[in-house]
Amino acid sequence: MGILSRLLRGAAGEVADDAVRTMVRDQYTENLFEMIPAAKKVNPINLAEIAMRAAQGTPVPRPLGSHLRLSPWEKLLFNPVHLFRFPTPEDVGITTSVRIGPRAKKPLNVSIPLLIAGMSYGGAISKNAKIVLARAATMAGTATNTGEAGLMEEEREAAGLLIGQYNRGGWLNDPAQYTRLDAIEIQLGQGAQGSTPQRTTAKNIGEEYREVFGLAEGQDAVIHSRLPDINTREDFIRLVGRLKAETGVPVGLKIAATHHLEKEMQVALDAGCDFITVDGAEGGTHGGAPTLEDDVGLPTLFAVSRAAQFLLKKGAGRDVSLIATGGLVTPGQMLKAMALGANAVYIGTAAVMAMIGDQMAKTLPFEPPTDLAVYTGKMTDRLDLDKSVQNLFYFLNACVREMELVAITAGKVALGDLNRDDLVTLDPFLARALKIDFGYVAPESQTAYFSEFLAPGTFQTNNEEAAVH
Amino acid sequence: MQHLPNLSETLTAFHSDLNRIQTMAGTLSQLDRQHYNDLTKYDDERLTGIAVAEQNSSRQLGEIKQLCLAMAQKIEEIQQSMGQK
Repeated sequence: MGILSRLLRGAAGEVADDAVRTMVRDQYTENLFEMIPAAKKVNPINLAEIAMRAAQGTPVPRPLGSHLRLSPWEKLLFNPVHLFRFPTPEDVGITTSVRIGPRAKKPLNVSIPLLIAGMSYGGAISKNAKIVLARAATMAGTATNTGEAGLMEEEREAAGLLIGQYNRGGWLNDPAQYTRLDAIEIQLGQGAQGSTPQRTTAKNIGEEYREVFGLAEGQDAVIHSRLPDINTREDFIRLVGRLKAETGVPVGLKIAATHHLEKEMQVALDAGCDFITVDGAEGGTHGGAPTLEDDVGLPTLFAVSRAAQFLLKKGAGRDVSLIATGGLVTPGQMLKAMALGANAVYIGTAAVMAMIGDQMAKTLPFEPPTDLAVYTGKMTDRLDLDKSVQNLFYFLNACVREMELVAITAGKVALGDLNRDDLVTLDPFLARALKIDFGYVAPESQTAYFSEFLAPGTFQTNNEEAAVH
Repeated sequence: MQHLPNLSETLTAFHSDLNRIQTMAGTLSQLDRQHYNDLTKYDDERLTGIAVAEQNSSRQLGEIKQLCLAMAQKIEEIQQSMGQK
C-alpha cells in the first residue's frame, strides 16, 4: 500500500470517527442525521420537488411521468403447459403481426404488436430522436406516432407506417397533413397529464419547430384542454365520421385512463372509432406537473382490463382494436396487457431509454441521459443516429422474442392468442376484478374458495347500492 | 362487376397467386428462423447482429403470409357473392 493511500485511509477513518461521534452526541434536533428520517417521511422525490416549487413558484415539470407504480403487474403470472396441453414446438413460428382497425377501409398492419408511442417533435424530443424512432420502427415492421405536433417531413419519410395525432394544438388537423398518415389518433388526453392544457413558451421554440407547427415568431405552442371546435359529443362523432370518410385509414381515440372509462368509450363506439388507446396513469411525458402524474387517472393494468371487458360486452371486441399504453417497460408487462385484451401496446419511455442505451456514458455524471434526445437537451448533437436505430431495433426484437417464448410455454402459436386463461394471480381482489384465476387454489375450487369469504353484496360500493335502490 | 367479363377468371388467378406468395413467405420465414438458430450458435457479436435481422425478417414474412391468407379469404367471399348473383 502506498504512502498516499495510507494517508487517505487514515484521513477517511478520522472523518468517519468524527461523524459517528457527532451523530450520537449532538441533540437530535440539531443533528444532520435528522435528514434521514425526514427524507424517509417526505421521501427524497417529494423533498426535492418541495424545494423546486419553493424556488420557482410554479408547478415543476417532472420528466418521464410518475415514479409511482400503481399497476401490480408483478402479481400476475403466465401459466406454462406440459402435458394437458403441449407447449408449441420450437420450429413453429409464433405469429406476431397485428391488424389495427380491421373494419377500416385501409387497416394498419404491423409485424409486431409493439408501437412507438406519441412523443412530439419539439414539445418533447429532438428531430434526430424522432427520425431514430421512425427508422427503428420501420426496420421492425411497426409504426411510430407523431405525438401532438405538425407533420415533420423527415419523420414521414423515415416512417414506413406513421400514426398521426389529430391534436388539441391543432397542428396536424389540416387535410393536407392528416391525409398523409397511415392511421389517425384523436388525442384528447394522456395518462401523465389528463386532459389539461400545456404550453411550450416561444423562447424554447426554434425555427424548424415553428415551421413544423405553423407558428409565428414569438408565438407559444399551446395545447388546449379541448380539441378546437369540438365542444359536444355530436361534434366528436361528426369529426370521426369526417376523418374516416376523407382518409379511409383507421381513426382512433386516445384518452387518459379514468374511472369514467366506459362512458368515454361508449362515445368512441357511437362515433365509429376503429381503435381506442387507453393511456394509464403511469404514462410518460416530456414534463408534467407532479400532481397530474401522481394523483390523476387510472393505472394501466385496470384500464386495459376494463376497456377490453367493455368492448367484449358491447360486441366490439373483433371490430375495434384496443391499444394499451402507460408505463409498460418490460416484455412481460407488455404481454400481460395483451393477455388482458389489448391488441397492441405503445412504448414511450422504454423506447427512448433503449435508443440512448450505452450512449448514456456521454452525458453522465453531469447531465441526464435524456439530454441526448429531448428537444431542449444540451447534447442532442452527440446522439449517434445509426447506433440509436440499432439499439432500439435490437430492443424491440429482444422484447418480441421474450414474448414469443412465453407463447411457446403457454402452448400458443400467436401472441394475440394469449388471454386471461393463460394468467394466474396471487391477489384475490385482482382475481375477481380481472376475471382470472387465483393461484392459491385449483381452478375447480375458485368459486368455493371465494364463496367462503364473500356473501353477495358484502362489498357493494355506494354506486352499486344506489343502482339497487 | 357484371361489365367486367374476365373478373371471375382474374379473381381466380389472384387467389392462386396469393396462395403461392403465402406459401413462399411461410417457407422463407421458416428458413430465416433457422438462420437465427444457426447464427446464434457461435456467440459472435457480428453474427448475432445478422441473426437478429434474420429473426426480424422472419416475422415480417410471417406477416406477409397472414396478409395473403386474409386477402385470399376475401377473394373467396367475393367469388361466392358473385356466384350467388
